[in-house]
Amino acid sequence: MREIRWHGRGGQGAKSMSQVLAEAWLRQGRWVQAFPEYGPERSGAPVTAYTRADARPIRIHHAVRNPDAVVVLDPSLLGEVPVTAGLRPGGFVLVNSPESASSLAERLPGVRVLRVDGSALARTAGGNYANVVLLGAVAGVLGEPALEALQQAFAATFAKLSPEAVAVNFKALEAGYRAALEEAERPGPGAVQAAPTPREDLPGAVVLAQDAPHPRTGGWRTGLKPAVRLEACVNCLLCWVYCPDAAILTENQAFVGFDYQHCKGCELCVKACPTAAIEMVPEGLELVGQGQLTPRTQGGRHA
Amino acid sequence: MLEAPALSLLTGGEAVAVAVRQIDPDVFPVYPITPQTPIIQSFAQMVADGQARTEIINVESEHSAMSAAAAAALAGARTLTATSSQGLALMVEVVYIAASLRAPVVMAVGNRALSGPINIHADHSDAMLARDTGWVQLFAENAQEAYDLMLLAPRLAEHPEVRLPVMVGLDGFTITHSAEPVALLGDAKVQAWVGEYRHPYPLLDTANPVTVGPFAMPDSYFELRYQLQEALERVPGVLEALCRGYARLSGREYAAFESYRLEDAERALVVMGSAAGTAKEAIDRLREQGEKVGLLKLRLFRPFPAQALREALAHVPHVAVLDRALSLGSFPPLYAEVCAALYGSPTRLQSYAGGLGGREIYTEDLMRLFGELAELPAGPTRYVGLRR
Ligand code: SF4
Ligand code: SF4
Repeated sequence: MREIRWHGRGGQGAKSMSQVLAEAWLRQGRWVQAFPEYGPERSGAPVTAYTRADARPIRIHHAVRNPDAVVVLDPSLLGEVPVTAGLRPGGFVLVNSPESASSLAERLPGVRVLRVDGSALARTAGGNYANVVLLGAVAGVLGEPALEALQQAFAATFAKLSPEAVAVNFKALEAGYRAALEEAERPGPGAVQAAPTPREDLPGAVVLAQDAPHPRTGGWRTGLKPAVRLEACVNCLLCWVYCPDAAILTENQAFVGFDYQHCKGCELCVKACPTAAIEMVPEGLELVGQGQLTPRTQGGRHA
Repeated sequence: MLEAPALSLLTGGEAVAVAVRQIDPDVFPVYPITPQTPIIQSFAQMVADGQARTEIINVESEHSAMSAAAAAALAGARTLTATSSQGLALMVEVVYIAASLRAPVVMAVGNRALSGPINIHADHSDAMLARDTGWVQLFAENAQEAYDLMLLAPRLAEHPEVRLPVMVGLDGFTITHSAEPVALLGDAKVQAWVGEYRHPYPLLDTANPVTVGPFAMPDSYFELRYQLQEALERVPGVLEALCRGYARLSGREYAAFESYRLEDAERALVVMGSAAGTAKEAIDRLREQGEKVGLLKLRLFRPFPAQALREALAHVPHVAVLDRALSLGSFPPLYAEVCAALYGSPTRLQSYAGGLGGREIYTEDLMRLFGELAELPAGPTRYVGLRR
């Protein structure tokens, strides 16, 4: 049996690609399974999906523990999710990244790291989606399913796409399938997945502040981040009250900006602000301090 | 050009939606809840695309969904719906009433843990909440079974000797969201199989008015409840006959339960739902090592086929029952049923519980279970996969 694990962020198509791969294998006479693992369901949040293929019917119904291959659609997941956990000896991790394989391998010790710049190859093919390139690439490395089966599976799965969009994705699939992958490996211990243990001294699913897991929800943002014009801020701290991720930073009870490691870009602070001091700006925009469009002025309200 | 496969890659939820489209019910009142959502999402798309003539009623809660479903079925409309977990909990008042009104509603249940703490993943605690309602309860192992049982369900529900609502359970996410190859029947075949729905005294037959849901005094309540009990007792016989017909139609054999490598088994496991597939894998691996282990996968939980189950397990010295739900403060529900069915038999029983709230049940977990089964002294429920 072949077992593949997919890591992506909600909206990047990890679940869809897990299914296209299964559909392609099905077209080659294999028995298959494809399923996602659900955590927080929203765009930007980490998503895991699985594909299985075997020569005989697959009856087991549990997560893949020891994948033969792991595909990482978003390199920003590397610090957030133990992508190499459980990898079978002889297996590989295929990462979509512009970064070199050897520098990726530093961060993923103990496993065979393959890398492809899926986003760049997708753009060359005329598309936006690295996921298709990675799908082609993982099949290329495994030697199956055939490119033609992948393309047909893609067309069948996305039956409502225009012929032009299908053609672009076929090209991207082929680019991935034939791509020369950069490869590296560094010795080291593999990752382990730690499970939280509920506290027995606090029955009733009580979570203390210091025990709360603090996932880096900053990775969930998809292109926009909040920024503040401090001269418009009246320091009512409603943004602080409403922010679900405690990502509003204060100093001496005065609002100063955002913790972008944890701000997930939900825009609740924008809605909550009575003076429209907060707005969403492009991720790359240079800001002052911790997210200020304008610096704090001497003797202003925050003094 | 490669040939398109004869099997369709569908999630369990999609497979149920295809079955519903092919049945083409008159009415489908529904309120969305995870992990039932892929069923209603796919089916609503099919209706919007003109592939079914069903009237989907978007109601304001599951309580309303079941109220509308029971009423529609009694009005003379073939009625299906779907829910999960808290949705079933909210509708449960009317779930009882639907059975007592003898409304042959069919409901797919994406089996999910009950709150709390709130959890969206698979177990059977929602179905167990409804085990005493008078509904027939079936459990599917995989997407194929979910599809097939959905096609069997209306025939069973509407059968004149039964006339009871039927629930088809498929494990949340594990089956509802997992894509697997499914063999589908042609639309015309399904239409011919389910036939026309005819209620003998529909509410909309204004020339022959009837009252349903009257008050029952102490002089009649007991007899009416007993009628339900009798109707449920007729289910296994009707189901068996229907399964024969369905086998002719589809080539796939169904029954109240499936025995897997049970003939010469010295140790056996009783389980419902998706864990049964994992159990088959564990059993094959142990058989390769010469271990005589087997499985009894129960599909029909209500009515509980006690006599048949007793006969099927009569020769097995050690039987484990794995529940995916607890009955807090007592033995888990499936175990209690099997125990009652095997009362007085020399078989040694052991209760296990696991897979709660989507906790994985791995092949190795079940191999370990079989490994210890013969050696265990009689004792309380053991927990598979619990950390402590
Ligand atoms: S967008 Fe605003 S409210 Fe939302 S997480 Fe970021 S700082 Fe908090
Ligand atoms: S809600 Fe607006 S005005 Fe109030 S503290 Fe936040 S940014 Fe300032």
